[in-house]
Amino acid sequence: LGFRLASWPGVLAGLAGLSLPGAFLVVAAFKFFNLGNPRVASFFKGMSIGSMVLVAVLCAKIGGGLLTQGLPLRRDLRAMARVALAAAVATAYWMGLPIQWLLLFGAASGLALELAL
Amino acid sequence: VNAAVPIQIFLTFLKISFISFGGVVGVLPVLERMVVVDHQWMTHEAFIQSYVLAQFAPGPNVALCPLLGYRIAGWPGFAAGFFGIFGPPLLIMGVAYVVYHRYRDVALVKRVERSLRPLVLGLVASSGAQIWWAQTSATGHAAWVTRGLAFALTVGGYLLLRQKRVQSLLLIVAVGIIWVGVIPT
Repeated sequence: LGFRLASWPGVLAGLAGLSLPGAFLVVAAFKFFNLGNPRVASFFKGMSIGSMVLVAVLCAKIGGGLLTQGLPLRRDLRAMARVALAAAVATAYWMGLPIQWLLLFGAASGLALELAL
Repeated sequence: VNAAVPIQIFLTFLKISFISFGGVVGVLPVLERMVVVDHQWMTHEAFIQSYVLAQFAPGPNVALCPLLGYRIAGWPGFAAGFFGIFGPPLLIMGVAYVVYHRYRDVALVKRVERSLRPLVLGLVASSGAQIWWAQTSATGHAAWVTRGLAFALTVGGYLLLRQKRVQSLLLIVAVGIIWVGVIPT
């Protein structure tokens, strides 16, 4: 948006306005909390599990909305293929495949899939 | 702090920024591997704590990177993390916007965008699962208590969020409070 409104100075203004306050706020929060305290550490561990719930919801949204576009899987071959590819990527990442290979494989397979179906 | 460290932080986050699509979640394990395992700048616990803190920041969720930089090397690290993670995408976006705006209605461009969705979903799901698994591994308590509680909280939180009965940040804090109540250390 900054670029659209004011070219490259707009990009810098957008970056400073959008990102710097949050970054400073996070550092301030870090200095405020005593993360060495076991109870505080346990609280943060619980919150990290809570934030993974958001990741699960995000995955469900991407899976349901963007991959299958709301159609039942068994009725749409393309949706089934996309979900299978996402599962393959997730498994390969879990198994420790280097990210460069994964990106290459995932992007190439996804493109092949879209062009073939 | 060694003067070379901020430069290393900058280069590390620069690499991450080139493969970070849709926020930092998709590259969290890679970021952790670089920061915790390769460079040994901090522990796994410290890394996850930073990630959780960054969730509470307004703005893009890559606020994690300036915080990691700060924890590693103070304010020079903060600057290195900030410009390392934000710099390249801004430059690329500026150039790509001009190109994309011109060709955005071309069918092939739309298909390329669609073709990347399974990749993004796979990365996000896998990184989320890896963090969940690492965070819920047995501590002082019996392993099944830790993982069972985490599973119950995750499923319950998921259902509440999907039905929009609770705000996301409130849910994170609530899970934190329940967790520290059951497993205080």
